[in-house]
Amino acid sequence: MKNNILPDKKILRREIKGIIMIVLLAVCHSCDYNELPPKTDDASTGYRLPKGEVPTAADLDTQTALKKEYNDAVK
Amino acid sequence: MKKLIRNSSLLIIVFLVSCSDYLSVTPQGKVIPETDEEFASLIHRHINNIEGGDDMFVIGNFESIIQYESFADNFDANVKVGSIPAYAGDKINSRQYNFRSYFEIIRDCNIVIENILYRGTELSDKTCAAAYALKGICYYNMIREYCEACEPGKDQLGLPIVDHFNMEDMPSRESLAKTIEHTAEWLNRSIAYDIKDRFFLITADASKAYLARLKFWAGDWSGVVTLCEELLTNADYQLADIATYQDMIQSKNGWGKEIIIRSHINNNSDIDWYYASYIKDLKTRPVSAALAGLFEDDKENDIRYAISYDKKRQNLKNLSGKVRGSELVLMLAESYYHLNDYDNAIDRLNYLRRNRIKDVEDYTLETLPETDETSLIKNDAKGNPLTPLLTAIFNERRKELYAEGDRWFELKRNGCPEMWVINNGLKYTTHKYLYTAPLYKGDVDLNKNLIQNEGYTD
Repeated sequence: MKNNILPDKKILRREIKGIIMIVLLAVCHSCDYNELPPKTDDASTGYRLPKGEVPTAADLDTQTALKKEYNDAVK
Repeated sequence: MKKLIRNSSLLIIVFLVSCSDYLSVTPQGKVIPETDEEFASLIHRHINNIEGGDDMFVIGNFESIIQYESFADNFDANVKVGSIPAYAGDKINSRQYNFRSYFEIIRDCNIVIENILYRGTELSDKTCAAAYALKGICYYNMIREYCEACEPGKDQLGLPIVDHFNMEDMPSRESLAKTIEHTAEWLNRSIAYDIKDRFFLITADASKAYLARLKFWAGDWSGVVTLCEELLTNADYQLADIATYQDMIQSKNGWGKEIIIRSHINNNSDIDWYYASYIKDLKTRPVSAALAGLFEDDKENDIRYAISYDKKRQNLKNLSGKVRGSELVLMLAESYYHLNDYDNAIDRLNYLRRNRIKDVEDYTLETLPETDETSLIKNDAKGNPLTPLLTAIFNERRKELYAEGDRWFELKRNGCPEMWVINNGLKYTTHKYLYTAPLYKGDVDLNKNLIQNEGYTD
């Protein structure tokens, strides 16, 4: 007479393999909650740096005078 | 039985892999503080950065000092830009990122205060005192960096007041007046603990010094006088004399006379190469003729001249964040001036000069030098034209606090004068709006309640 309490070994092995497959599948696809807020790909993170202007002749003269003063002072 | 085993197995699988992450608010891999020591470690992390010379946001370090000096006019970028930022416009984006760094410190302070304020142990009290002080100092620094200079009677934008750690909050900007009020309250709460030891570096006196700075920035002249006069009754904060001045200023890690608080007190070998590199970078831009001219009359006798820069006008001064007695004396001189108490103003000025210039003759109201028409600062913090006495106070302040990161904020406080530099063939102007840094763009984009400062475009 077959023992109905213990399952057939083959069936048991099959069930164990099935359980392992299901666990593996579930672990790989389990809920991965992303705690970061939504982010748009095209959002800029910085501000534009101010554009320079072309210096006037007076500006260049001032700069030249400052450089000359420095060079004379450290001779 | 088979069914029982199968069903039990399926149930176990469901329990093992079910999604529960979204229910958990515990940050992964982090410890939630519970004991006094664990909360104290949140504060110790920031204190260690200050003591090691790494911190740019509380007391400041050589890196933050060089940044602010590069924006100002103590060093002349028109002679040579060198290896430091050409002007304030070059650093718009790093200044907006720094906004986050301030709030990382404030977050830790809020966590401490919220959780251990009422525990009543010695360690919890010291930790809370330090947390209030750090928070107050950070807000003071942010007020100077991210808000306009105070204009009495004008409605001005302040900062978001953040008292609780809550990632969901979307605070708006309070008024500048309210922000200053809150900052003073936090510093006062720190002072109330009356901490005298430097277990967390920041003593009650250091908090008082920062409160004095805050009141000075806000134009509360009477408040400044009360605090500074009280602090200067302590002999340790009274001025270093000519004999001890050089050691006090040039000591890389030491705590000399008149220092109330300073950073970089540990000789951290990790920082050494970084420090040396920044000091070398500063030498690539020479000191300006305007600053050099202030020393012209007393060159041989002024101890500050000898340690400020060399014959090639390259910096010699050691750079470290600090609050010291000289600044209190200068704040007193200007505060008395604005309170129309000119006798006390000139008395404080002469006290400083006697401890800096050998055989100096005291100023009287009649012997003060004339104002300088070429000076960048034309008006004072109240918008009034400069007088000989105020000019003398400003000039002493410029010589005394040279290369301590002060000049940029002096320019901001006294009218935000425009200046320009020619770099790589183009002229770049420090317009008024550049004196006020932008808030962190990520926060402004996410939080519609947060108004950005004017002038910045993305």
